[in-house]
Amino acid sequence: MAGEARFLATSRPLAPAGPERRGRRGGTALWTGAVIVGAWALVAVIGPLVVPHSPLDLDVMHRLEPPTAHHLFGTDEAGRDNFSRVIYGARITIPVAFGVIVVASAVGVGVGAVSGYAGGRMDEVLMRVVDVVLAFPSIVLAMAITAALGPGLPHAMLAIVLVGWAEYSRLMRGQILVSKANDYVVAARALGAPAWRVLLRHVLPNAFPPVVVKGTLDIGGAIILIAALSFIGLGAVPPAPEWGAMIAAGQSKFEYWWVATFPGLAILSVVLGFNFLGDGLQDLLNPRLRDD
Amino acid sequence: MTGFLIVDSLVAGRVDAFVSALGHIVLPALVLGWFIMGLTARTTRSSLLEVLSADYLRTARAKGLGEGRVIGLHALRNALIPVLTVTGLAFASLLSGAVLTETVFAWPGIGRYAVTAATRLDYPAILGVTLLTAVIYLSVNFIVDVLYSVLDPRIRV
Repeated sequence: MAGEARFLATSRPLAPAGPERRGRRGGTALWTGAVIVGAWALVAVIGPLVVPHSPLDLDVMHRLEPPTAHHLFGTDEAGRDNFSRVIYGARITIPVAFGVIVVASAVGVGVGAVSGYAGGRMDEVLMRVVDVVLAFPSIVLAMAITAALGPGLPHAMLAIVLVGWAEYSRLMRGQILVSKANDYVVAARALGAPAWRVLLRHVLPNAFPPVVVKGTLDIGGAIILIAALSFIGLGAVPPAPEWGAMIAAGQSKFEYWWVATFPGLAILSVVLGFNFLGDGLQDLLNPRLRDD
Repeated sequence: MTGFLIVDSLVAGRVDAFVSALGHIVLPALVLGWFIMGLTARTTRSSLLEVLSADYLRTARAKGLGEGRVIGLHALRNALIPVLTVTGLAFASLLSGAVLTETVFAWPGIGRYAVTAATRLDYPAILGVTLLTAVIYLSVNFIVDVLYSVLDPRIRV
């Protein structure tokens, strides 16, 4: 790694345009993402204090009304306030996606670390299991698992964890294999440190940055998966103000565009925010791309 | 005849039907293509950035080659392996059904079949689609692996 960095330092002057532009872009992306994600987190936390209406109260006399000052995003087919429902949707989607990715990455990192550090037969067995999970496109496998367990948000979450952990163990295994060969790891082992201590204190901390980047990017992916499963009818159950379910309710009503458009825009902006944040973190944490 | 409206309308010589069939495929194709375009562009960018500091590019520049030739031929070709992986997987996911797009556009493909099976809890159908999908994924992955050595003769299969 050190040799590589030195090589890069000498090669910099030959390619001045690339790295400089990248550094600046990374900074902008990081801050844009942080602002968008922070704003949505704030909306999710203080949402109930600021929404004008209840997200669940029916008002059939005012169903499918276009956006007005009273109903900012209009009302849906049962007369519920669309604005309040989009705000409450953040309270479902963001914590769920965050939790799913934390669990999935924890499982994946654990499996990958053991696999990479132990090597041998253990590695072989664990990686074949990972291969099996990765042989399916995530949406199809998540759908199949949710359908098998029975529709509902908890099962959808479990399905996304079961689909998502495998990539983390691949990533982590690769990281471990690289950092295992470092001098300080060899030194720690030579000093007689037990395997778990070497793994936890010396190998893992240095193998972690890519996992953080992938985790941030994957929260966006998890939000889309949750919305997709709810859209199909396998995730959140109808009265819950979940964005995917709201889009499903509005997608056939072209003349009442506001029903599906606003939850769609909500998904777009949150996912964009997490993607920016992940990209920015990548430029910040990846020493090979860093501009200094 | 084939069941593909675009092909059948041409065989039957019906230009109006052909135009109509094309019209129905434009929006779903745009939706799917848009995503894959972005994916490919991002992969190419990051892969190219990794390659840009390689020795052979310095050599190419030292030989006095133009920047267009250096990037277009020397860098891009070496950066193409991850792009091939990603486009291969994207292609496989299209073959195994663009689940949401097919549902939204009422396109009666494998994806929509999977969705109706899942919502009706038709387990044998779900199982079938899942297995078929895995077979398609693995086959495309295998073909991509073979293509690696075509793209980069240093890689032997």
